[in-house]
Amino acid sequence: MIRLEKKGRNPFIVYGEEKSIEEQLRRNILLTTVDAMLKWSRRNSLWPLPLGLACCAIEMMGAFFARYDMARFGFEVFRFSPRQADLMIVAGTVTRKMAPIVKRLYDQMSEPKWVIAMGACAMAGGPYNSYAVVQGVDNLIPVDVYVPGCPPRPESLIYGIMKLREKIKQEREAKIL
Amino acid sequence: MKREFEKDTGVKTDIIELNMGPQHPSTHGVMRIILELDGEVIVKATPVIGYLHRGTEKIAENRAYYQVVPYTDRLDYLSPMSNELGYVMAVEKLLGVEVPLRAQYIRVILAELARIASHLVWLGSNANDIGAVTVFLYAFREREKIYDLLEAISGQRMNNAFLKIGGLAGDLPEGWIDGVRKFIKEFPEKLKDPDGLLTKNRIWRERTEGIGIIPRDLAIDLSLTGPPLRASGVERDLRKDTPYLVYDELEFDIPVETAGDVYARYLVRMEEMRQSVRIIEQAIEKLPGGPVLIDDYKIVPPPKDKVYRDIPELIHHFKLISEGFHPPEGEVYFAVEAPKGELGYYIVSDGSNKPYRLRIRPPSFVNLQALEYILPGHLIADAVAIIGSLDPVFGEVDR
Amino acid sequence: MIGPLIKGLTITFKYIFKKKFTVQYPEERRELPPRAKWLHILQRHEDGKERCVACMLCASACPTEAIYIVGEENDLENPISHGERYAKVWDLDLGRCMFCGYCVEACPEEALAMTDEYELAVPTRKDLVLHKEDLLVEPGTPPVKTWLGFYRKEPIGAMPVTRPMEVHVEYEEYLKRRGPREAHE
Repeated sequence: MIRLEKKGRNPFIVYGEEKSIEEQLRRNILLTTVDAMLKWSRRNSLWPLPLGLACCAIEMMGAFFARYDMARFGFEVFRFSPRQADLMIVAGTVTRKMAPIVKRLYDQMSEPKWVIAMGACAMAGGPYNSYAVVQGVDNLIPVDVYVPGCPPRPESLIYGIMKLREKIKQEREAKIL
Repeated sequence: MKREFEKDTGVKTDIIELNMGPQHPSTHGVMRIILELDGEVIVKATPVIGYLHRGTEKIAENRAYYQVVPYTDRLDYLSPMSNELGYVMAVEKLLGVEVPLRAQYIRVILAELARIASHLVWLGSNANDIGAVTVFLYAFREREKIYDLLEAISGQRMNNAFLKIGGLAGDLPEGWIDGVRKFIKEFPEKLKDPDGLLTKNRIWRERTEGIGIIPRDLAIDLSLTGPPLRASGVERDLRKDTPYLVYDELEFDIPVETAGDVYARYLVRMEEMRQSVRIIEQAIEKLPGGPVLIDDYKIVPPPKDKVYRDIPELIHHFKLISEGFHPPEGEVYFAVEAPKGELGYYIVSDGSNKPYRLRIRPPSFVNLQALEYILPGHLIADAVAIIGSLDPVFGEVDR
Repeated sequence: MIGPLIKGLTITFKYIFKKKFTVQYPEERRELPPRAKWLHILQRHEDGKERCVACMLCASACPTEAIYIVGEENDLENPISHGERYAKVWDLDLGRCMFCGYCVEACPEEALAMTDEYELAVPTRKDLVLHKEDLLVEPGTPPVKTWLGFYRKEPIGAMPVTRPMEVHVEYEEYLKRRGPREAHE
């Protein structure tokens, strides 16, 4: 969030500065280059699984079409099968009836995998504080980036994915399994 | 088919069940259909809905009347303005107020823009399901231009929360009318691209003609509304039958086809977009001056400059925001012709500041029941074409 | 068969030479219209005092109950706002907010405004709740013109302070004479 960054708070710095040599040695020296290579390739071609549930799905589609054209970043390959995707974009209201399906889709994705919660409903239940709605998809699956808005603009989603890229870059070691 | 195969080969075969959805690219949201298949032919189809039930009607019972408007946006999220229009007009009918003429004309323009925007998504997604991906790109390009107009007037691309009970949230921004003029001048030209790619295209016609026929009688029995009804040969459009706003002062035609198949529904919606352009053109020509909000400070907040200076207006403002208004006791039903069909709001008021009951009659929900009747007998590949041509939106179906 | 194919291809090939519709987003940020309804800010008076007087109207106008306010009486020597009270806590939950702008409409002090800042992604759910110190602008920031006091006729700068200054001074003197108010009065 730019407002927070201006105030000297970058919420996206997940890990602190590296401090000691011992700490660096603890990391796998042999694999560091491979690590960097893996992270580079992973963050530059994220294949999203578009879980378009409600209004946000339309803005997500908007992000993939002519004006905002996410193909510019290598994110354009919509994979409706979870086995081929590594980024799940939960766009819309997750209801109690839909919750087991969301969980199952997440479980079916192969590692490494990331999740973006797009829009207020997916983040925290949004305007629907009711008996039928799961209050935030993070009750079901771990979420990496939250993109506020109702619905967010396509730019907001692209910004969120850029932040996810930063986050992948910061990861200590690329998960091999 | 099964019987023939068994007779020819002597091998016994079974009917298989196939689960389509809720995570499927061409169910247009979160619908699940249980298909029973004999080979590739559908024998029985059972739609399962409720995957997007959010409890909108219940939430509305706990909100002041004016606070429900943003929730109605999120019913049929392809055309938020039409939903708002139905709701605010139902409440206005309950209160017995009429909005100024200028606001009525602007509401007509916004509702027709919403109709075009909604039909564009239908056009793109239906064509995409059948295999014409390019059309989706063209449709969304035009939709982005409508978004620009809506954003300039309301500040949001979708889910605008722009209509108020008693008028509009604001007058038109400078240059907005010119923007609309430019859009409706270019739009029929741009619509020729998808038209040229599809209408006479042999593949498109073979995939759509004679597929998913809804006979006239069935359409009436199921009380379908909107384009699926008009494609089956019934001329019914609330804009003509029970004119609201200023539709009776504008000239437009109701496109009607008799075939009742997917292609007929395609033709009806394409023509509706052109008619909407005609309506907007006339509405811009006739757009009168004057206020866009009624003068009753019991219903709409007073102007801010008065709020800062006069105590009575300040009290009105506080009372209205913190409590809302109290409409008289009674029941009211009001329906508008939304892009999907008849969108009705039934409000029961017990005289308090919140609706006692708000019932929404969503067009998609009623139209969707036709699936069970028309899917059997078709191939699986045609199922996506038929679902797409009914154009369900699940925010509205499940509410 | 060949005819329709050629016709279709002419339509699509035509677009090679047309102006590109794509916005190169991170490099080129589209100017939003002045009515844009995105992230809220809390404004200040020209003398640096906060505009918010904790009247709770925005919280009660919010359809989703996304705003949480705790008001407190101003210290007479060193008031934080021009009113009797100020907002000790002013939290906005982005996980609930649907950016309808009803809070800005409700605000009788022009304290709330909405900006065109839409890049709001955060990594944890805790960051979704924005506090007063995140939303409050720096002293001396020019006021944002917002359209959402939709019935507003004048630009924001021309608005008088809620209570004219002389009256305000008189009132403060009265308060001083009266002394601090008891907690359970």
